[in-house]
Amino acid sequence: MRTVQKPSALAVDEWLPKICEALLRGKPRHFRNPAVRAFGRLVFGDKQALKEVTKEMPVPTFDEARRVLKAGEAYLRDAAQEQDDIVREAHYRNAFNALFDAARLAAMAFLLTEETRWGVLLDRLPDPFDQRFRSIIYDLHVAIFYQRELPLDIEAEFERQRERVAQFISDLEAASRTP
Amino acid sequence: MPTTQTDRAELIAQWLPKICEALLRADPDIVAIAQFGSSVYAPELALDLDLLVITKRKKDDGVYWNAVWGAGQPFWVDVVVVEAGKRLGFLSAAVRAFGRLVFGDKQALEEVTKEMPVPTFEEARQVLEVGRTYLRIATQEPNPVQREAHYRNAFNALFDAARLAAMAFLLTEETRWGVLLDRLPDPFDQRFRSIIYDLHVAIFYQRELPLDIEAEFERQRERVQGFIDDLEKASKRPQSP
Repeated sequence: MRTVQKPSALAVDEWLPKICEALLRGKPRHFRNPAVRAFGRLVFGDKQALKEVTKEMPVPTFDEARRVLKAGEAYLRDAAQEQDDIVREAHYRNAFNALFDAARLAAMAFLLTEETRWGVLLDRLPDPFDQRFRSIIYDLHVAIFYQRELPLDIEAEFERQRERVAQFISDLEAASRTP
Repeated sequence: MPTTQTDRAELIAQWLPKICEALLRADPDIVAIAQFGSSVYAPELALDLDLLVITKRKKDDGVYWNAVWGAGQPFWVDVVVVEAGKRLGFLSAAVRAFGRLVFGDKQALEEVTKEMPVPTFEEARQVLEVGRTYLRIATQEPNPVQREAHYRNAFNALFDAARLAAMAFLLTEETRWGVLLDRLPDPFDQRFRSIIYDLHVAIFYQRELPLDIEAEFERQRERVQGFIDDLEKASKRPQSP
């Protein structure tokens, strides 16, 4: 049977200074930020500097959400030019998923939150936006992206869904301005 | 006097046979008609009637609309038409969950609404290439927000490829990564968990892009490629008794 030897806590402490030196020559990697924020321990230097490099992404804006709609349009164009069936299907799925992503960013903008999980955003949105968001999640992210259930007339359905999400973003923005 | 909600349910039930007859007259190739949507799961609240028509050969959309409106019912009817043997697509789940056969062949209904087949390892590898396409689009995109979205989708395509490979390995139509993760044997479960976290959660959802995006993408692409290859190898190994 193959066994993997894990270093002891003592060995980690012995090697830590050397690892720190090696790291000083490198750069931090953004996508480990949540892990470092959650289970990070400062072993050398400036606490402020650590906070700075691991701080969360800023809350998105409604305009950013609208920009992400454009990404979906680009993937639809790619799909139309693609010869391979599997790759074309993947482009179509990503086109609809980009619309879902735009709706998710708009929900974050409305709630002024850095929370990114759609399940949590859904719980926090007021009625009727929660119902509209639930339906967008199901149709675009779950059914089309995950379950690969593409509509019959893909281009027409994409346009319908794009308008639906654009309206969702506009309505959220209007509601956010209502006193 | 305004129509009450209960009246509406009765009205739909009363008009349904007439609408089906009108559709069958307009298209004799119809093999099945199914009712789905709110008129099935909440008939007392339904405002309209959704019908799925399965036909051997699809006619012009106007044929079905004219038939429906010629029947004369006092409520809105939506008709979706699909040819027998073809896939209904993203309405399938709704019809499977809340569909009721009102005319014809149950087999034909099951055929058009059946789930997507289990993906193959080769399909998973092709989806890896989709990620590369989005990386290229990103490098040409002048708008920073759109560029970021393309980068995120490039890494998310790698996650998607790993997810499809997990489905192929488990020979399942289950699409939820949380469920796939639970079913994968050790050490694939740990590798998949880490792929999900790095590519789907941190980069796609949380927008935590790496500093050197292109280099990191290549590293991640190779990592997922290795995951797919190892899953495929393991799937070909004979099972111990």
